[in-house]
Amino acid sequence: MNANPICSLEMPDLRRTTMRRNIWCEGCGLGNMQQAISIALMRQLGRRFKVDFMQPAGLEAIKNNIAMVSGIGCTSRMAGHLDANTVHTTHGRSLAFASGLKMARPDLTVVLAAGDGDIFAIGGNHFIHAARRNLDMTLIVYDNRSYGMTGAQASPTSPMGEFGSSAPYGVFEAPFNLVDLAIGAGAGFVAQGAVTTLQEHQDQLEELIAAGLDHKGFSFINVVGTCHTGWGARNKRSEAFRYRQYLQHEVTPVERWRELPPEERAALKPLGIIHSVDRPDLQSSPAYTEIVARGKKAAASLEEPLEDIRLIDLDPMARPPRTSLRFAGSGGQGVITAGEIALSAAVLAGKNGVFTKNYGPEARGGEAYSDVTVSDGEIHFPQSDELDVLVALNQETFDKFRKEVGPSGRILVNSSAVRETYDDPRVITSPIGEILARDVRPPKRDLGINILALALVLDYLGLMSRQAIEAAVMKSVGKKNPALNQKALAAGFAEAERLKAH
Amino acid sequence: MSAKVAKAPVTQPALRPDDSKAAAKIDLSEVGAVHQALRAGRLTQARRTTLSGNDAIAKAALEAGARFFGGYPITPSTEVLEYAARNIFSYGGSYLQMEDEIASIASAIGASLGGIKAFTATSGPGFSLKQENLGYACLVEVPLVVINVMRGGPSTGGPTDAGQSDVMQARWGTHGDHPIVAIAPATVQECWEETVRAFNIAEKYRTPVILLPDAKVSQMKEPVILPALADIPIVNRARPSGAPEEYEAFGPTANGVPLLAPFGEGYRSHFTGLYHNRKGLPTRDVRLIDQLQKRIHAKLNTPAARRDILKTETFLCDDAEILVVAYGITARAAKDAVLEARAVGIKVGLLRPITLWPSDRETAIKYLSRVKRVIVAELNLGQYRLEIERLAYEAAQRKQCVPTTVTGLHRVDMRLISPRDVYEEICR
Ligand code: SF4
Repeated sequence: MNANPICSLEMPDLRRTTMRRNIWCEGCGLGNMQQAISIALMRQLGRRFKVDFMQPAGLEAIKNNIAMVSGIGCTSRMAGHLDANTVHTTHGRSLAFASGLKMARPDLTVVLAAGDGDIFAIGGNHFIHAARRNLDMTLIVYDNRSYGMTGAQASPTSPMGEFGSSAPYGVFEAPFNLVDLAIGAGAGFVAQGAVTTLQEHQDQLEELIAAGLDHKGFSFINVVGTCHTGWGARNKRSEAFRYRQYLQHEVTPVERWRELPPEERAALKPLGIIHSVDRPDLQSSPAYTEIVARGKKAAASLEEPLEDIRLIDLDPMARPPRTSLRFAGSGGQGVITAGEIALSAAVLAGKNGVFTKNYGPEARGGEAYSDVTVSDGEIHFPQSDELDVLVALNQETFDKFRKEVGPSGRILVNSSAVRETYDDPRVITSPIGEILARDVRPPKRDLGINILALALVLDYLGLMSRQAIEAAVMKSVGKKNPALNQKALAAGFAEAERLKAH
Repeated sequence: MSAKVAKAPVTQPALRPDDSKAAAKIDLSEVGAVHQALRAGRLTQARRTTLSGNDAIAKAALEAGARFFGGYPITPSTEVLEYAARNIFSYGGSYLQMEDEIASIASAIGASLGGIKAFTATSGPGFSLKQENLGYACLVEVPLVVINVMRGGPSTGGPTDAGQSDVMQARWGTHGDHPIVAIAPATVQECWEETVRAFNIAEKYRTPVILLPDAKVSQMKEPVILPALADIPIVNRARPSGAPEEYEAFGPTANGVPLLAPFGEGYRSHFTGLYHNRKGLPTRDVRLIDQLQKRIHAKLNTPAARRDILKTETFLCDDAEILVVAYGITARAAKDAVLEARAVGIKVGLLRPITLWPSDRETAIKYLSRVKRVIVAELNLGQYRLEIERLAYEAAQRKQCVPTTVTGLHRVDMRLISPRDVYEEICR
């Protein structure tokens, strides 16, 4: 039709000419809904882009900008009928697909056509979150109060007491109140239309969809619909026209509905714009814009500086010696950070290393530990059967991990907290806690204990230079609190001297 | 009718174009690609840093051009979400923390169809939830990278401990016959390299690619050497350039991979999880359905595709009498064990599939037919062993001999398989 511009009296539409036929039953209200969507899209986008949808070029521009996303069911087949960018997704998930699409392409007009089973049962979670998230998209639901395509099963909007193939003796669950649900979930635009036999309802539906398209943010238009071949056939409404006439008795303009006493309201569905709040959609909200700017600023430089790098061929058969260390203590003592810094010190000293942490509940309070393996060559398996070095800041971790240290390994023990060492010959004691309190004087207990212990053990073992250790600390926690960390480093190095002299 | 019409404003993020110069420097189909490029002098400058596996994956995704991340928190892959949240804005991209795992993969598919590179990340239970939409991406041929950090299972299992029990879920998790690519990195360096490769495969072949690190690899920190951004070989999906009315989103091409147009440029098309014709419209034509189903498999099985997709490290395999097959963290234990066994004169080698699916059949068969014994070591009760047994049988059929014995070394108690475990199995 639209390929023939001469016949200018003929209303163009958005039908996809390559799609030969639709699967809908004759007389189904879905055709009316599709027509309303089509006209509303042409009108509103034509206005938005200042193009004439009666002209082929204008219509082309409109079609290119539309992305229709749908799920599964009779209504969802609509995406295939429209000559636009159309995605017929999985059951219930259309809103989630559309959310990613809208984030990626804010320039597109994202419209969804869906059924009540699709959106409110299997896709219920996505509906409430789409309403809350408030991306600029328009969802039009054909609410036939059942699953049509699969043969008249009950849906979350089926009225109690009516019959369906999955409710042979009657529906015994209460239906959703969709309007309240949508408003409660945060939808900024909620409207309801109906496909009856009245032209005024058809015109109104078009207006409601147009208003939804114009609304910036998530808009939801519920369309009170029919399924005469399925649900209707089981509830004495199998004739399409009569069913739609019958709908007329179920609906009333929202203005009138509001005046009604509550008990009468429950039996009627309000038609019109029921809820509309003017506020920016997610992507154009000042809050989002500011957060994106904040993120850009915080992570401004993501490309590390380039260095000249020469790699020498390694002997694949080599098994270079390696040292495995474990830093262990209570949750707040920073032993995970100590391990990370030890790895970075090793790398700064030109060595290879692997850091692994224990992860999970134990790391969030209680005991924590991290492991670092250091070597001059390749490290294949990052764990060792036996630890070479254990740094135990408290009694619990000393008791727990002592057995994992090899016979010739060493255990650096914080004697301020570890009272019992069982005369273990591998133990080297140092009153780390007391040194910290005396020489570093942290504002908070144990702040810096990890750095002191780290400097102490790495220097004592001669694993890497003091410069490397210091540089690694200053690159990490030292950035935030240089003075305290310098003091912790100095105290650690001094204690290493003392122990070495011993 | 002319396709040149007034267009609605388009704000598509610019993609860095494919760069043959970068591809000439770094060949991602090589094992240890960046190190090899540096050794060979094709690359002289690079970036040094220290990263965790998860951070390396997320960083690689952004550096490979990903501009949308749809995520949901789950241990032990959450750091990918956190890294994306911290950094993706700087790349001009965006992310959403979705309401569930299903929505997070759905949002990534939606973004990818919109025309940008997108990814999602999860772990075992979440991976199960993503399966339906993963199948959608297979049939609709959506470029997509799914990170699945493997922990123990079934069910909640051991959320914080490494497992390798999603190997078969990666292969057959979604219903229907579908092709899939799954890649298991073993080091942090490989997490970065294989993520870039995963995006390139996804884009070049219009397919979802699963990156399958185990929790140990994703959680450990190691030094890495990364090329300059300009030196990263990047591939983008092929787009149509002809007349829009002739565009077929599922049409025939020389390599079997149809062209994919971003939305909004006139190449309007339909995408459906129903069987569809070349235009993307639903069809019940048995011939077209057969063609579609077979083509999505065949496109990953051309010689060029095999070169891009398959990747195996063979370590001391040439004279091996015993072959250890292991991947991910277990392969690192196996390497230590192989070296130890070699030191006492045992002729043993390591076959490390980096791409698990599709399996690197010819490489495996070559060695399987030579050795006396095969040990498959993995943190599950024998998932990849099934594939190796199948290939050992095929190797034997070709040589008209008895298949090589394949034994398994398996562990599912949350502990890793250690070098000693593998060594003892070699000596058995
Ligand atoms: S099954 Fe019902 S809802 Fe579906 S097309 Fe037929 S009448 Fe309409």
